[in-house]
Formats: sequence, C-alpha cells, structure tokens
Amino acid sequence: MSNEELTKTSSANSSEQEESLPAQKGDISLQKERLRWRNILARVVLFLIFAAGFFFSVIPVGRAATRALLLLPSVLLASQPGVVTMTEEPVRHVKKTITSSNGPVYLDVYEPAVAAPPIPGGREGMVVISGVGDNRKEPQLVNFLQALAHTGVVVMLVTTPTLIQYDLSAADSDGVVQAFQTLERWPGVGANRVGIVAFSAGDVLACFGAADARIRAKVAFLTLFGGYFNAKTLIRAAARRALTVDGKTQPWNPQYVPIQVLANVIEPLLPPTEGPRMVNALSPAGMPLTPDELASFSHDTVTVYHLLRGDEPDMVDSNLASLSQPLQALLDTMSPSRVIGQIDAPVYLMHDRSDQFVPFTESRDFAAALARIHHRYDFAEFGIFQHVEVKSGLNFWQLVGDGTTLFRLVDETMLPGS
Amino acid sequence: MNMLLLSLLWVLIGLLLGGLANGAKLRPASWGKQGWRVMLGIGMITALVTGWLATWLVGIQFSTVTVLWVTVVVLWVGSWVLKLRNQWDVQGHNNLS
Repeated sequence: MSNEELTKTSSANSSEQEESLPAQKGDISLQKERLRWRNILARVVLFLIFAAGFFFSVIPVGRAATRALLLLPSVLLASQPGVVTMTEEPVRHVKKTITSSNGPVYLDVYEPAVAAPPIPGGREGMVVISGVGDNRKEPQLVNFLQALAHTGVVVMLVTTPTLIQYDLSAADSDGVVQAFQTLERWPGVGANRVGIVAFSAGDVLACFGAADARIRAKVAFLTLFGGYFNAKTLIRAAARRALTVDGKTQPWNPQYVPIQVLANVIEPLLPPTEGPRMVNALSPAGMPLTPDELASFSHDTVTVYHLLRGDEPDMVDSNLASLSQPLQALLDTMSPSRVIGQIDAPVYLMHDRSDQFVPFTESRDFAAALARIHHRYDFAEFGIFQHVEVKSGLNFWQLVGDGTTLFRLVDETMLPGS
Repeated sequence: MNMLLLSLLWVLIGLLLGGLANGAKLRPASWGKQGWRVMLGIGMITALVTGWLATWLVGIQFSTVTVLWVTVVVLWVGSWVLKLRNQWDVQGHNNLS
C-alpha cells in the first residue's frame, strides 16, 4: 500500500468516527426517551430481585429468615426434601458423655461437617432437651436435629439417666449448665450465640439452666415447646380431667406419660412401701388400689393417687391444699414459674392446642407471667402438632396457616446466629 | 454433586438476570446488535463466580441469594459505568475537536 493510499484510508476512518460519535451521543439521549413499559417493568423486577437477595443474605433478620425457610419444610414434613438439602451443609454426628453433679450427661452433637464461613464467623449453638424418655433415636427428633445442623447450627441433644427413666430432678439442671458450657467451647460456635431449646417436660431443666448464675447472661434465647409452667396447675388439670379456657371448661384427658412422670417425681417423698405400689396402680396395666390399701396408706399417698387418677374431680383444690409441706415444696421446686424472674434470655413459647400430654394452658400461663414482669417473649399456639410431633394427614392450608406462625418463632430462634 | 447442581442453578439465574437486563435496556448501545449475548454472558459468569465465592465466604445456605443481588449489581452498575464512559469519551472527543 502506497503512502497516498494510506493517507486516504486514514482520513476516511477519521471521518467515519466523527460521524459515528454524534450518532452514539444521540443514541444515549434517545435511549432514555425510548424506555417502554416493559423496560421499566424489567427494571422494577431486577430491583426487587436485588432487594430480596440483599435482605435475605446480608441483613441479620433476613439471614435468619433464610435459615428458617430452609428449616421449616423439614419440620413440617417430618423429612428433608431433596431440593432443600441441596442448599444445605453436610452434617456429622458426634456422641459424647460429660459428668455433672447429678451423674452422667449424654450428648449427641449434630454439626455441619465443614468449617464455619468467615462471615459472620462463629456458628449458632443450640442445647436441645427433648423431655422424658430416651428420644435419641426418635425419627422426628433426629430429623429435626439434622435439619438444624444442615442450616449451619451446631445442635447438642442433652439427656440424663433421670430423664430416660421418665423422671425429673432439679439437680439435672447442672447437667444442662455443663452441656451449655461444653457447647460454648465447641469448635466453630460463636460467643453469645448459644441458646436452649426444650420440648415437653424438658422445659423445667431448660428454665433452671437458663436461670443459673453461671450461664444466665450468656443464654441467647430460650425456646420451649409443649412444656409446663407450674407443677400444681398441671396436676390440677390432670386431676380435673378438664381445662378452663377463656372462662369455659373443656374436657382434657391426659395420656399416661405425664401421669407417670408426676408419680415418679413425687414417689421418693412417699413412704417406701407405698410409693412403688401407687406408681404401679396408676400405670395403664396396673391394678387400682383396693379400698383396704387406700385405708392403710398415708394421707399423701392416697391424695396423690386420687389427684393423678382423676377420680375425685370435685375435690381437686382441697386435695392439693391438703398435701404435706414437703410435697408442696417439691411441686414448687419442680416448677419453671419459680425461676422466671432469674431468666435473662428472651423466651419463645409454643404449644399445640390439642396437646394431651401437657395442657396448652400451661404455656398461656407462662406467657401471661412473662408479660406481667415485662420480660421479652413470644408465644404461639398451633393445631398441626400432637404434643411436639407433627400430625399426619394435614391438609395444605393447615400447614400454611400454622407454618407461618411457626416461621415467626423459628426466625426469632435463628436470629442470634445470623 | 450438590455443587454441580448449584453451579447449574447459578448459571440459569445468571442467564435469567442477563435476559432481564436486556429487557430493561441496560446494555450500552455501543455493544451493537450482538450486545444481548454479551449481557447474558456477563450474567452467567458473574452468577457462577459469585456462587462459588459466596459458598466460601458466607456459607452454602446464603450462596444463591447472594448470587441474585450481586449479579443484578454487576449487570446494572457495570452497564451504567460503561455508558458513562462512552459519554465521557464522546464529550472528550467533542471538546478536543
């Protein structure tokens, strides 16, 4: 190519550029004018996606909501849907036994198998007390614990020999404190991100633990599902075989387990020859006490027998009042109502309205007492559970209705780790 | 396996957001007629890279929601910056001439 040709080509290119630049400028100004409704709609959709994404991944309340949304299907469906587990962390199970002042404490830890992500740092920890009996292999409970761990929580299921034997002891609260402190030191668990979750009668130990001076300032939350508030009102409901709800009396027929637990708790304070006999007589397969036996037994044994058997519904208050001082003191000791003033953590209460193990009025009383002392709390009643397990055969709308309420409580429980 | 499926999900999200950005007329005119493909490509790559980074930084539970907002920001702010640069280039050229 000659110099002349090169000069021609160069001048042609520069004149093209000069022509195209004003055209580009014109394009930019025209673009603003040419925005149509569909372009604006697309921008609105993009902005909403941005806002939702930012809220659910950056803002703590939103992060808690994300984890609650991941957890909820597993709780409501009592299994872990594959679509949900795809976005969850792999989990490992560790068994451990520690010692407390009341004997061994069995710990089953379910934790994410990978290290905690750098943001926000430490993981949330939950001490879970599942109530009486040995529930460590209960499918719904194991599913719940695994689902929690999948969402990034380190979960520690706590049980003791006393609980396994369908009994309660206030001394076991030391075991809860020891478990809490163990979880606080667990690798990956963040400081002040450990809370306590209790089901059924486990709420007694949870409350005693949360009120213990060694950990009360460190407990991030206390979530109680299907627990009782006061042993005397629980016995009153069992003895009357009825509840008073909003001023109206409705029948309530308890299952055997709460009767068994109450009998086991009271038995050590009864004469040694009478206690075991009374416990056996109250069991479903047991023979009722004969009139001769009732005539020969102590006043406490006979009164407790009638209260738990529910055969003197019109004499409940007088029977309760006539119990000896040690028994009255025991029932007061075994009541969470005794320690609510010493609990610092926010309390989240849940109860099923058709609960046949612990009447839902117990949680109502608990909530009312917390409101009276201006303690931070939330309370929700459900219809989709039987005691603490999800009922089968529920329809979609029942799941959606109660699921929304459950989401609120789970969201609050997930907040400390978010 | 999970990460492979998630990566596919993120690529799909990136394509969808790139498509929405095209629909929102965010791409600079200077990209010409093939610019919509560039937009889809940017959406896809941003979503994929963000997904992996978010999994490491904030955990797998938050990776997909992080992908959503970061990809929108990159597409929107990125195209806005490019348009601005084009404008400056034009203005600079006009001032020079």
